[in-house]
Amino acid sequence: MKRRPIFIFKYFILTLLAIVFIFPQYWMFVSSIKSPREIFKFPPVLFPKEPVLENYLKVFQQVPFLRYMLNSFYVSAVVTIAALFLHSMAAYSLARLKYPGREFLFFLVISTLMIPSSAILIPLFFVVKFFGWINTYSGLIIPAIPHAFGIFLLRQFYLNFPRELEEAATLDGCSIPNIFFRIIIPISRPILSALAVFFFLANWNSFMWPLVVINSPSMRTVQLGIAQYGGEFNNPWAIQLAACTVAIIPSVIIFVILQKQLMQSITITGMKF
Amino acid sequence: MKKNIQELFFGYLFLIPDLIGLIIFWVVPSIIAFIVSLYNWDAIGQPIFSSFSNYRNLWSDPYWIKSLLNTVKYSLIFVPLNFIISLSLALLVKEDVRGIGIYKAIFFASTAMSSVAISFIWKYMFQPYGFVNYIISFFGISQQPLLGSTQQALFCILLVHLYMSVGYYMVIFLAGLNDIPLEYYEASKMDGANTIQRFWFITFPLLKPTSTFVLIMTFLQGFQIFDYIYILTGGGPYYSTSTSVYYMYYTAFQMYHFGYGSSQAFLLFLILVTLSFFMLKVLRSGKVAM
Repeated sequence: MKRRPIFIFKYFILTLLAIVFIFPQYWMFVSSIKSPREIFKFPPVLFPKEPVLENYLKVFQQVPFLRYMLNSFYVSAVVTIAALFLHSMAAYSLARLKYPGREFLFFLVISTLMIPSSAILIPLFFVVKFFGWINTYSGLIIPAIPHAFGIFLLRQFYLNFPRELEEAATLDGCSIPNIFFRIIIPISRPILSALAVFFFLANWNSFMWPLVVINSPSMRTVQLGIAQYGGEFNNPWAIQLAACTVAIIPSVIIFVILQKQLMQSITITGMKF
Repeated sequence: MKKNIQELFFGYLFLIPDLIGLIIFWVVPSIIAFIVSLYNWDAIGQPIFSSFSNYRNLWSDPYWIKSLLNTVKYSLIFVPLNFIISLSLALLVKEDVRGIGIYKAIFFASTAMSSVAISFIWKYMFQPYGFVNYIISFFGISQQPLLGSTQQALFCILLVHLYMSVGYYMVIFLAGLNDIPLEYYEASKMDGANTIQRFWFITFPLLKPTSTFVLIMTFLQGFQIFDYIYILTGGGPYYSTSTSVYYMYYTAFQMYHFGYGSSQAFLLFLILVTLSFFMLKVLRSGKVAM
């Protein structure tokens, strides 16, 4: 009986907080369907009476927004696939294969974790310029692939694998690539898919690096597209927010479908890009 | 014997692609950062060796000092606030009762979204006739300039950053809380400990590895804040929201003073590497939920 008021109070607090948390996202969507007349009203219109879709049409008409989305999708997908492939190979090598120099190489890999990405922004720009990758997909994709954290995590995961599986396979005369692709990769599907969700979102949302490496409008990613929205418009905020809504739709879809996996991956990784 | 050679060959073969990438895109830039900082270089023309003059100039650059002070101030406010809010959220949603999953998802959702898009909606809400001013008018407060004020802008940015961050650390704290064995709580209940005592004498001490991890990670993130500043204020008004990374970006990529920008970057590098070093020590102790 004593617990009851506390219980209700807790739900009250939770609900209040939930409203605060969800409101900006609601407001983004609602403002994006407002007409020029409604968007400048004060007090603000909570539920638009004359919703319009033309703001969304303008996003795609005034700037090549579809192109931006495809750019982002392409970059995020390629980085995710390549990173998972390379990281799992490197991690397997560091966790399960024995060769001279392995400890030193592991130390080298893990030391790069300490390098803050924003502090190497300028020299990284020079490196990419040296390769002639300014304003290219390569410039967006290739520097985003190598990252010690993915290697570190997968290595931890592989260290805990039972040895027997590999030993049995070795006795059957399986080569190392065979063991890796036929046994290790299939067993590590859960962690790989958790990391995939994470990598994809991190790259979809990435802003600072594309900002530095891209300056031609046609190469823009979605985040650059909304940050540097250059269309002509008479209803700037509504169109801007329509573009933002379109840009977060993939995140929302991924979040709704893979929410549990995403939470799990954060618990495993404990990191944010 | 044959197996050893096979392991040697494939060991290197599997590691090398990623290793080369790490060296070219992480190690080499770290070295270049320092070298470029010793040159006077404005993108056009030849770089001129200028020894440590870039570093000397930093200390007489009021905007750089202002940015550094802003960054320190910002981190010192952001880190504890983020800690308290995310831990409180985790404690609130910890018990598995009906409907709690929805609350958890709502608090967590914003962290999966783009910082640019979320910054824009907040920028819109911070406008003079925006939603924030509408809300505070209920409390009898007159219209505030918010992003247009040198006093308030940094706190507006803080709010957006917290909004994007607390749900994430809530999940981390939840993992840490779930690792604490239930027996401790049961035993303390028998001894007659109340909720507050249980928190101070069981939860808080046993959560120490997670807490340390969260504190260091958020300090690193607070110190490197960029996206929110770029979208919300562009460092203004009057440099009141300019931070170290933002000023570095501005110096190098807007003003094209690459050498001068690099000297800022290298100092940032030293500060953050020292911090990350401690983070890595925590990580390698293996006590964080991984």
